[in-house]
Amino acid sequence: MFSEDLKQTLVETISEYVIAKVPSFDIAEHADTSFSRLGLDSLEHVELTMIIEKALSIELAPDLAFNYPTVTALIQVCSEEYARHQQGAEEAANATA
Amino acid sequence: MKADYQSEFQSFPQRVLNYGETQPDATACIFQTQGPETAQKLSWGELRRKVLERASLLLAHNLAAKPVALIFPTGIEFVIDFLACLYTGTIAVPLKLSRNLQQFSRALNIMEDAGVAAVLTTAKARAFLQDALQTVPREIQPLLWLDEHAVAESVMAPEPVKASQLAFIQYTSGSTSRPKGVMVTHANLLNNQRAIQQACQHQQGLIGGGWLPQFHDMGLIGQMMQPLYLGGTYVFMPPMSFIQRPRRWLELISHYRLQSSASPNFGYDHCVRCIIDGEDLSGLDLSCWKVAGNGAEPVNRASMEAFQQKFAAYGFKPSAFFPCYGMAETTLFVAGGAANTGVKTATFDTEAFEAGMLKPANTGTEIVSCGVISPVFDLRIVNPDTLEECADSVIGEIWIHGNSVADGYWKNGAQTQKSFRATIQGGNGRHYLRTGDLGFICDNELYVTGRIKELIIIRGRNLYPYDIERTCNSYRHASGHGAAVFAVEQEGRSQLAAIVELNKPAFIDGDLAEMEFDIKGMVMDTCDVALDILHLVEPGTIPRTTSGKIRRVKCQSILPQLKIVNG
Repeated sequence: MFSEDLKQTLVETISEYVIAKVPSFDIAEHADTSFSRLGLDSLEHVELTMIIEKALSIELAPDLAFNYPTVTALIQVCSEEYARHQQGAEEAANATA
Repeated sequence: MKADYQSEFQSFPQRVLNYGETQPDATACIFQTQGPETAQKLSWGELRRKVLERASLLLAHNLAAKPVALIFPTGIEFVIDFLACLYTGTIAVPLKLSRNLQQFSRALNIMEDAGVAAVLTTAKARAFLQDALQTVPREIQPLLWLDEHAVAESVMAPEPVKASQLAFIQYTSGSTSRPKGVMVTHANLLNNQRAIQQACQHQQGLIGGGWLPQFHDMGLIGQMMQPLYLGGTYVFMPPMSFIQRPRRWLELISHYRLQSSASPNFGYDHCVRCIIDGEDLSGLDLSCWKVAGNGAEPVNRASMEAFQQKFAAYGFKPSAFFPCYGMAETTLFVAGGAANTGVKTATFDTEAFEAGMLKPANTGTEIVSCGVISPVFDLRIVNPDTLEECADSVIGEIWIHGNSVADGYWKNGAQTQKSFRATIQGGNGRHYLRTGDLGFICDNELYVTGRIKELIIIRGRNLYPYDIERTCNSYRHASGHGAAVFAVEQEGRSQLAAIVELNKPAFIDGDLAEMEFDIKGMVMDTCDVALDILHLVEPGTIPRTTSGKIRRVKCQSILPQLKIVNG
């Protein structure tokens, strides 16, 4: 899991991206509305993973947002990916130490 | 040229297999999903061996001359199976591996239309597809599935293919209502490979490739087959990897020294937009990139300029830009280049232009040239109403005749007659392909100005409005017969717009915002495209002709007032 701060940053990053495409987007109301319903196309689904990759500095599968198609679901899976990545980094650090 | 084929016809697959004997150790394919550490390579010798193995398998199952679906994730397996089909005379039908059930049912429509005898795929995709099939509420003929685990028990050699034989069927859209399969012959294929080589000035041993999907005409004929045709190296990556990180495309070009790589216009935009200034691109060297094809959707000069500005520092040369024009119905390539000349435009008086007349001017409407018309075609500009050839300074429909023009649409005589067998009024009696595109010729270069068909092109994908309309109409609160889908040009980009009539109670009492989400979600799930603009209206709002047909062009003009009413 990642910190509340990081989670908040991620929510804002995603919201900012979606609002640019869908001006009526409101995170309070639409956290569980699918990206397709909001009107994002397939390119934009992939771009979502791109901006999250940048925010978290981890690699994600390009089709992640198709399989976790809401803000809530996407953040959940990203926090798991992030935790796995951190753990991997730690183990690597321990191994080299 | 015809006589030439009969006397010494060497088919595409024969040519490719020969390279396996003459240069077995040279690299034929490089596929990488991410960085160079993920690269898979295949030599010409291995490619030959694998193609022959798969060919025996196809023959053992008696698939020669039968249509067979190829449903693969981007990869080397597709290359091998596709070539094995060509070699054995099995009619390949390349299809996109769908992401969800709704989209898979579109693939099923095509498989049904083609009457495929088998599905070639990977074990992983097969598991997914067979699961999906279980949930499809319709009868499907039992299919033969052949994945990488299927092996031939004995070696079999096919009859050599003939020039007139079908090589593959290229479906031009995943249209739900009436899929159209373009029948490409072995003669078409070779003719078009030569046309591409000539126009791009590609040399034997070409290193080419990129990120375009292998089931798409430009990805298949241009990106995959051209380097194979020239005994070079086909270097490629999954489209999704490009979308996610566009720099991977440029890194692929730089690392493997690609000489030729193409994309629809949006790909160049995507690089400019998503590769941020200040991103570390050290080591990127695009000086090898001689032909940067731009086709499959309208070419935008501003996109080219922005790309050039951004990547000139990495060795990209503006002369590499190669706007081009083509379609599945002509195998692929019609016009492009000339090589090494970059983007060229012509400017016309706007008022005359809008009336369909060309009057050169210093300022006014600027049109990008789609390049020099390949000498393998006889291309005419024809008045689409009178069917007479247009005068030089008049815009008309683009009609094409030549050996790259396909045989027609699979099992669709009426549409074949209409599109492929047009004759010019008072003309030479030849059969021409009606492209549905409008344009003109200037100094033997083709300029495309618009479309008469109601085809919508979004990011290089062809979409038919009635497929999307049908989805909108099937919405439970829609009136069921009032939906209009059309494209609107905004900031040089095609936006997809829909006006959907709701039934009266839903319109009065329903939650409009929620219903907009419903429809957008349905369209995305079914047609894999997003509506940029959607207006929900009451019955009777959509402009119709007296006979009740929707007037899509007129719909565009009522958008501003809908915007005021609906916000």
